[in-house]
Amino acid sequence: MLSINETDLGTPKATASEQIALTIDGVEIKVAAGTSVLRAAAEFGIRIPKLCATELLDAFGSCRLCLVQIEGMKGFPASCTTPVAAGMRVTTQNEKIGELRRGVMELYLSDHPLAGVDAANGFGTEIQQMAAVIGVHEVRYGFDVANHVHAFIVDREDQTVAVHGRTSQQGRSNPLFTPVDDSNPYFSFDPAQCIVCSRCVRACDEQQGTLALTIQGRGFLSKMVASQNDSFLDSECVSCGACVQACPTGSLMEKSLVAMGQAEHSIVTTCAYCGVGCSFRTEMKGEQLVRMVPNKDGHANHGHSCVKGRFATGYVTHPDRILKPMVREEISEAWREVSWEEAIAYAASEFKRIQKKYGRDSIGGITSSRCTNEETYLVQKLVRAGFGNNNVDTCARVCHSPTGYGLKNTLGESAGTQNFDSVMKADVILVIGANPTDGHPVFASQMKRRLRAGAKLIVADPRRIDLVRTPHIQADYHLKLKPGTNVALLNSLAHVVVSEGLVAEDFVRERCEPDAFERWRAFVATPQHSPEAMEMITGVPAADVRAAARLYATGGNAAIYYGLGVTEHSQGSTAVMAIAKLAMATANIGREGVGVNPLRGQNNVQGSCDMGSFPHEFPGYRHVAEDAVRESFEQAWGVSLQSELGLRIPNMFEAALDGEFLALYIEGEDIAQSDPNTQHVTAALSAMECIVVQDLSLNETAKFAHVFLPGSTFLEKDGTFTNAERRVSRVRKVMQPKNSDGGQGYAD
Amino acid sequence: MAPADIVAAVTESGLRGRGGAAFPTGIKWKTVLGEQSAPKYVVCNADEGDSGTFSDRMLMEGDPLCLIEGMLIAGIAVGATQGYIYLRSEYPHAHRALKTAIASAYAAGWLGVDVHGSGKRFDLEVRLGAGAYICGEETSLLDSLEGKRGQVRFKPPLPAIKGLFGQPTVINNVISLASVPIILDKGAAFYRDYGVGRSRGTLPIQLAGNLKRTGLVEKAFGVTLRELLYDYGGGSYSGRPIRAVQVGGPLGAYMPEAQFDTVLDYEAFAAVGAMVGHGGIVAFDDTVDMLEQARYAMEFCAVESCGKCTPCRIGSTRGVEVIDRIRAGIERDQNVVLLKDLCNTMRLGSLCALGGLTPDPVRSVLEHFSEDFEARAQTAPS
Repeated sequence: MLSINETDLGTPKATASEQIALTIDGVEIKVAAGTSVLRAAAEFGIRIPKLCATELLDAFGSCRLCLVQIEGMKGFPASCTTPVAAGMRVTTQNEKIGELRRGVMELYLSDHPLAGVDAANGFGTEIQQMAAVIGVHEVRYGFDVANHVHAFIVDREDQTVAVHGRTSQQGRSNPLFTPVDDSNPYFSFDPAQCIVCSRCVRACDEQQGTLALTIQGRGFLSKMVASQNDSFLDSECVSCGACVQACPTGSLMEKSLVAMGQAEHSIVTTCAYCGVGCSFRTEMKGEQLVRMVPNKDGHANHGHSCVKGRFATGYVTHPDRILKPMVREEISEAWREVSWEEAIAYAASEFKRIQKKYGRDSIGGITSSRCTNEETYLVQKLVRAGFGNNNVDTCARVCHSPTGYGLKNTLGESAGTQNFDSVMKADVILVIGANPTDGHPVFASQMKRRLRAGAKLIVADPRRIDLVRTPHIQADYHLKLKPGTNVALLNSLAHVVVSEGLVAEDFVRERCEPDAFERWRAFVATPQHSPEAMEMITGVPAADVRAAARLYATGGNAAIYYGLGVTEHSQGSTAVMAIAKLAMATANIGREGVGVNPLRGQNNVQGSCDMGSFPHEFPGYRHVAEDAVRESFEQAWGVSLQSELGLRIPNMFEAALDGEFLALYIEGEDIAQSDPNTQHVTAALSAMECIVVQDLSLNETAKFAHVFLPGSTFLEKDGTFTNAERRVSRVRKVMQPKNSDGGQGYAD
Repeated sequence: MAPADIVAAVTESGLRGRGGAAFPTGIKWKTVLGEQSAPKYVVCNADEGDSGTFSDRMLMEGDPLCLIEGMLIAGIAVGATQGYIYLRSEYPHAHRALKTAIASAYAAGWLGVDVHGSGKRFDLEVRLGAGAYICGEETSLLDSLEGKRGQVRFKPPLPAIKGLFGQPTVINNVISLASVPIILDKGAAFYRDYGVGRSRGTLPIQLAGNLKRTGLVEKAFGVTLRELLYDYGGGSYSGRPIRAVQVGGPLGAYMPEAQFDTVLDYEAFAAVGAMVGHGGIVAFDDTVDMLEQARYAMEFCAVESCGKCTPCRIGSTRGVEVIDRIRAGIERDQNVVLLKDLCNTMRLGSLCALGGLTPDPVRSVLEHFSEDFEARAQTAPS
């Protein structure tokens, strides 16, 4: 089911600009060409009964409840599969149609459990609503008939047992009955409630693209199964939950919903997991989270989500969360719970003491790409305006800072060039150093949709990632380069473009800097960059490189998607620049379907960079050494600011080991766990005199901390995240912060 | 001949789809010819699944080149470059005959990249079904041919516009395609001059069941059912009176003696609630239990339903149960009302002709042989 506050218009929105005029139940309306009659009616408030139709999936036409009458057409066409036509006259309700719908619903109910009173038995589900809307008074077929509902079938004379919908331990055992599959940790599958509408199967195909579900058997024996009639957990299912959301009965249902019952309100917010930034409706019972439902109006996810976004919210209420501030003078001591005031006062006094003793630049801070833009902004401002230096950096330092630097230097903007929907117009997709199905599953589903529709795929990755070969998708070229040879491979691709006359000369003349371009052209044209010469370095057969380069340059709209496999290298920025140049040389930039698209890791990598988390830049990537820039910030913040560049995270470690950097405030980042060269990092942390960690739980870094400030989750605060598309999305507080000390603390 | 001229000739001949739906073949071809998208396909529906039908099989076994010629003409006419014969796997002899004929057509240059020096390409291959009756329904057939579970598609879009692999597709029955060579050889008028009303040309009629002389007889439309049963079929094999005749396969209505003078003509049959279908005729003498025949219609649908739409998926199973209850004398009158309501739901509510036509034999029994639906002593279900 969609979220409690959402209306399902039945079939996907039509995108045509042409408007078609028709009459439905005497009402003259206009809708976009290609709209189904079902949706056209729904857009104007006329609700036609339906069960197999949902606007998240293509029309299917199986339930036969949305049958209507259309002048000039014989019989009762299904309104979900009938597109509107000019002058069409549709009747959605009359006695004959009503009789037909009752006939169909009576059949449904003859193989469906009677109304349960709880969510587990489908209370309030679409089939129950439809039964009420259609008005079925009785099921004349009786209850001793063939069905998938009861474990035992009782004889007719004994029917009172079955009439009350209970499973009786009497009668003969029912070969069609399949017990509930509880194997998945997040949702249950009750075959007894399944109406074989295929919404789950279609969701798995169309939305998620995993194709784990199918209908097995024919006719009355048809049943939905996962993989080869496996349990959900043993099947190919990735637990994205699209099937659960699509189910119009209680057959597939979130366990949390079964346990808690239906929510009473929902609040739209943004997922805090990855750079896709999916929009969700948090369904709540007071301050209790019942379930997360991806928002069909979400521009990044269009009603889809992955397993984490939908189901992995347990950390919010996990007992490992630390909810009270803690302090200790030495890291060998036990933590001591203190008030927020005491914790803050202690941290402040230590920072001041250290600055007094070791100098202004001896302290600094690290912002988090997990936190909101607003929080990140405050941390960098605290460092610049409060600490009086520029010793602020972010966890993006080890992930996507090469993106910011490389794209700024080539394209002039420290962000990707496209939104996610752009992929639907790509003809050639080049994935470099990214594994979207694992790392950005919701966007990967969209990409796979495009690939299944026929777009070509080039994968440049040492790994055989899922996209290389997955149901109905196979990469045209898999360039299995040796790790660390991205730039060599990119230059050899560029070599083919410039040496085989594939440069988009007009585009380059109009849009690129002539001198710089010629220098690059001459550089990559040298024989040493030929695929044949580079083969020794990259390990990729020259013929494949040549073919892939030709495809990228001449295959229509070509889009590049890259990830940490490009940026997390010593030559990361160079590789990003090589990518941008390849796109410019082939005119694959500046319109839908093309572009340079960094797949950002965490939910707010783009935002944390935008907010001024780098030691050399104020918010908006404005350089700290520029007097005019600095003066404007000095005026706004009412303090004097440093022109001297601050320390990057690795420099902080060096300085700490040199005895020059002794205090660090870390907001939501586990550097001891995630930064390279762990022993170096922990040695640096051990050398400092005061480390303040603000996080949800005691992470690895907290082992070296003197002050622990409890953080708040994305469900407990207002703010914004900026996703990989640079879309700024609202984060809304759906519950009181659990770390607020009964509302008395500072957190929120 | 130019493609448009071929299509015009086929249209003018009055040839209608011999699979049973009787849609004008030329009009279907014209739609495909008018589509710009490439590639286009010609698909031959050789999944001859109706009970009592075998004309497709006999043609494919006896004169496979006639079918190949018809498909080749269809390909040239609509601009298709690939043909598929979707053959039921129960026809191993036809399979061998087709494979041999296709190989010889390739060897003689009538199939392949340059059809007989015309510069036009047409490739042809045989694909085998897997035993599902529903895959004789054209959209299920296309799904099956694409390697998917054979499940009915909704229309529109028509297969002529989005058919096999989403491309414009001519899909015709064996006899429809095999009728084309003679139309082009002797002219549209030659073919059109046979027949009656809007049913032009000839039909290979398959006589089966309780008849003295079963087998194939090709006649122009206009012959009466009685002539077919008695003049060609020689009356019942048992020598007892013919009580009922099912025409057009398992979904065709049962016709009583009073309707035996109906003229073989799509419209005339439709007027009495029956159908010509694929031209299969199955005769029953007066020992037949018509309630059992009605039950069989529902049972057949229950076994063969693709399971997509609800009226067919659940309705057919319920139909069997309701008829069993009537036979057992349980709430007979209420259950007859329920059966009629169910027939109505299936006829008007089903997605395709399988669910939509299953009620026809049941209704015809209720109408013409209602005495077999009277309460009777309970007998064991067969």
